[in-house]
Amino acid sequence: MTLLPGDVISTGTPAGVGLGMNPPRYLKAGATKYEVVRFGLQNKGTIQPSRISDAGLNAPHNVHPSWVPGYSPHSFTGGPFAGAWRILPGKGFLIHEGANEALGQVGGSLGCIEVLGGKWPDFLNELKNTCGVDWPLIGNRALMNLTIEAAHFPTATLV
Amino acid sequence: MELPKEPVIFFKSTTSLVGPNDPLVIPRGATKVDWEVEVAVVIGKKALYVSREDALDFVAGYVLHNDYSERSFQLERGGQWVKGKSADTFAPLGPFLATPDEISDVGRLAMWLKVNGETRQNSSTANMIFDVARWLGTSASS
Repeated sequence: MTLLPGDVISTGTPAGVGLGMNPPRYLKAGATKYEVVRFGLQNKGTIQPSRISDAGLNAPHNVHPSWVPGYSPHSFTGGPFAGAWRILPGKGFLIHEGANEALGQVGGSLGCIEVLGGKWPDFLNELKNTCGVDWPLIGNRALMNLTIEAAHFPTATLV
Repeated sequence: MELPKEPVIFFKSTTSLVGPNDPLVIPRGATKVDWEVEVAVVIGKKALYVSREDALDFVAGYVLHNDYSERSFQLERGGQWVKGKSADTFAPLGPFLATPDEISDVGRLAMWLKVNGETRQNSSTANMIFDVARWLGTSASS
């Protein structure tokens, strides 16, 4: 056949494909489910947290600039869901609503992510695979969409 | 698997093309979606009856390719391999094209592939059964 400019011819592949494994292994749909992911809020110094996603918020939510350095996302209190994070058995993510700044409450979109079971490197790797950029750039480039599997809207106060 | 006597040529559809970081869409009914890291050649000049010796003169550049393949579609249903090779998103290319002057020897390139961080393929183009020129020459031989 005549080959024309722009035609692409791919060549052979080395050993290691799933077909050749014993037993064969293939790709499965869907992202890896992580045992636990915690979301909270993190604010370091005077730098406002860069938001990875607005998912879970009713409207764009500016993070309050006066939050103290070193503020811990784990210092939330309130109801049965103490803490700015929540463990969801069998679920991947939790994203919570930001609290009411006018009432002196704090809350946020994202910031603190913890993956249990030593899967943190895998999680970062998945973020990179999903977005095509290293994780520090994901928020800046707004390339990632997160799906809310469950949401809780705590009334949270800084303690 | 028995070694083929010459490169096995098949088409992948243009609709299977996607960018290197786009999601892989697993098609309906698929159960055996597999990966294949490969070096792909972009043709730069019209080529017909090209000898193996002259083949690389027709190369515009080299690009990374993952030849995604659904093995049951490809191998268990008769007919052509195209069924298992041409699903949407089964042909990510890139992210860059390396021109021949940037690669001193395309027969000595490391090639690797990881699935979820786990190395599955780790080899070199030096281990290819048929070199790039042979692939090109076979495609344009008749």
